Amino acid sequence: MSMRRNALLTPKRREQIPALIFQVAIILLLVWIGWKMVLNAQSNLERLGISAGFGFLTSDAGFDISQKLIDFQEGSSYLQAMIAAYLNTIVLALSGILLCSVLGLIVAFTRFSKNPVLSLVAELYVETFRNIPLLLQIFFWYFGVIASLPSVRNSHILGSVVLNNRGLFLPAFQFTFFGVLVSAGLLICVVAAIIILYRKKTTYGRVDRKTWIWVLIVLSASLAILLFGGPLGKWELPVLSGFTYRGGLTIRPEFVAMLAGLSVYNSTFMSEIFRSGIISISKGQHEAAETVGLSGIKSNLLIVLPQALRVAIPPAGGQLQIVIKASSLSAAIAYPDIMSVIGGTIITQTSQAIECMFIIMGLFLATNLTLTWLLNTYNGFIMRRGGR
Amino acid sequence: MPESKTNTFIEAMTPPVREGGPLGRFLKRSFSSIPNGLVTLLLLGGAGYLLIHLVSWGIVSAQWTGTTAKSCSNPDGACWSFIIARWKPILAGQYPVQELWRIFLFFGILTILIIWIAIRRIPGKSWALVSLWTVFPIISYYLLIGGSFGLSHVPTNNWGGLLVTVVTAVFTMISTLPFGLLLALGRMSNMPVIRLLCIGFVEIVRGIPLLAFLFSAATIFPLVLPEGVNIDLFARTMIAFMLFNGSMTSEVFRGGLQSIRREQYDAALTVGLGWFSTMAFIILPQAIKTIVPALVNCMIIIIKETSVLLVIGLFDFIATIHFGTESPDWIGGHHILLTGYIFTAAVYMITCSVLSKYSRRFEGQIK
Repeated sequence: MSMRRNALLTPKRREQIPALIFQVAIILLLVWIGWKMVLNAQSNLERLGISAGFGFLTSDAGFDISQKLIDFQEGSSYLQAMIAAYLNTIVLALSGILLCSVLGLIVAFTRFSKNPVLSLVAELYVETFRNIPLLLQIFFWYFGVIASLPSVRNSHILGSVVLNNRGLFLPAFQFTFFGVLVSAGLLICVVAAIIILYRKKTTYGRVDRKTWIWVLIVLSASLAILLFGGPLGKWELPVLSGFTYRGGLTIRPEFVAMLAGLSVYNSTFMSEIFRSGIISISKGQHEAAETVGLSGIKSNLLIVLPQALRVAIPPAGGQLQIVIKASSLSAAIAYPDIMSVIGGTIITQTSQAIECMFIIMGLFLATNLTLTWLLNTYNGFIMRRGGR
Repeated sequence: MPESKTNTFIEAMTPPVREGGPLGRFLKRSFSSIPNGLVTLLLLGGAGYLLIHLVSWGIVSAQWTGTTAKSCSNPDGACWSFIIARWKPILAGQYPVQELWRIFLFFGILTILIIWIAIRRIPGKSWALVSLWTVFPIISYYLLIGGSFGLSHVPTNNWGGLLVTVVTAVFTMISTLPFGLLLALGRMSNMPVIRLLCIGFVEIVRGIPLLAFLFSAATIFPLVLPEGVNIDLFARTMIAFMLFNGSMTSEVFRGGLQSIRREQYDAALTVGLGWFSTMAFIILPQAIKTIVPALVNCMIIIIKETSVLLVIGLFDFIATIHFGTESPDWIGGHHILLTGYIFTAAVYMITCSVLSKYSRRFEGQIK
């Protein structure tokens, strides 16, 4: 008996016993806390008269969302409201990511300008907007700038474009079903043309000018047919009705303020990331590009940038995740994203706080993980093409 | 000895001479070509215009005295009287006037500690650091909330303004460092359960926006507590801030711990040190030195994060300015709101840039 026990408890294993006990204790403690919390939540919900579960998703929402990409009316369900809000989050996050990357890139290259005044301006831009909290910047755009635009009665009107403190009203093209089919076909053609041209370019060197002219003619002709040919659809213009403009495409002030804040604030961080990427490229690359006769812009775009991106993409991915997360600040100015619709309106109406917060967190986690996956794929693509 | 083909040496070239003074070089670089010169002129013109506008707005046509919006009738000038007349709510919200000395004392102690830690020449750094984590929180708790030692009780609902922002920022910094360190150590632990728990926590929290985290603290947290137990919103928010930022700082700590080479652990094991002594006397002192700049960056992020307090309904610095313009005395002027925003932005900007300058200098010293 004692022999067997000694065989089981070698000195190495005996050392691990306290660690094992500690881990089991931690698990037990967490399970106990979790169980207590579930019990408390159950009794609290019962006392407040709230039934737990996701059943409320199908019941009528009874409120309207000011900006919607899908058909959503007052009779629609909470689930539809959540989908509409999620689409708003995606639109805001994607445009923020795009704009802040472009701005960041421009500022990064500007800081390397040989003109000392220009690089100083870029540096001041970064130092200023990086150190002011994002929420304050959003407030500044929303309550400071946009609120000072003229009211609906005194709108700035340029053709069919209307600007006032309710938003920017643009004419929109309403497709018929036939129009959707034709434009989808056209889109496929354009993509095919780009792929063919790209192939041709890589096989035979340059694409000659004649090909480009043909492509341009075909593209503009099809665009003209698309926009002015009757059966495809028609233009819808914003018209003053009641207290505001209706019809056409409305870009709402909340969206503009959020986008301006998100992209300006995050562009400073993106520019620093790009700058560290550019610094990591040795000066010899620039000089070599100059030697083979590339102009300043060309050597930046064709030689420096592709190499700088390899360094910059991992930290840039982290920053873009921050952009997605920061889009939740729209709850402060009631841009209808998931944070303000689910976390604000729906929780207030239904009191299903636990379910709603889990949905919000799940959506943000899923979106961020998707972005990470996309960037990793892109990173792998760049690394392979570099062929180290 | 083979005869060399030529006896003449090529003269070494003289190094290029720097032409002109600093101003001359500046002009040469700024006006190297016509487009470049135009850009320079345009930028200088813009900067001059902005500067003139700023001086005329902020000083010449600005209003410094007065107690209502009527005193700031000029919409083209700053309304500093709004900030000056409302200094009390901006500083401390609804904190009772006769108790304001407690706030001044708190800010005084905080300033002394910061100066003590930040300036190199002052000795006794370890005392300052130790008191920051032990005596300082206790003193501030009794000083600000009161309720004992003859101080009257001031509930956190009455707090506001800069006080809320500073207290949140400072106590998030103080609490998040040990928590982040624990998470980082747990993540590198040999115990699989601890490691998985820490990894799970850090990765999930990093994928969630701070605002969602704070909303949960405001809505879910009361639901899972036993009936009758109630933690006030301010305390809940502080806990949420600590948990959220802990996952951020833990990544910084992990970076520092990973930068320490394997040999250091082995050497500590060889001289017979246990896990705790190895960490406390060998690894951490080396790791922390390298990550101070990154930690200061975390502090800057925390300071800017505190602006979110307004969204979950706490009356912070920005809120006192923003809602101050909606108070009956100050209603009606768009320029008053803008003055408030610019004042707030300047406060945040100066604080954050001083911190980042400091961290950059520290970085230079390490290298």
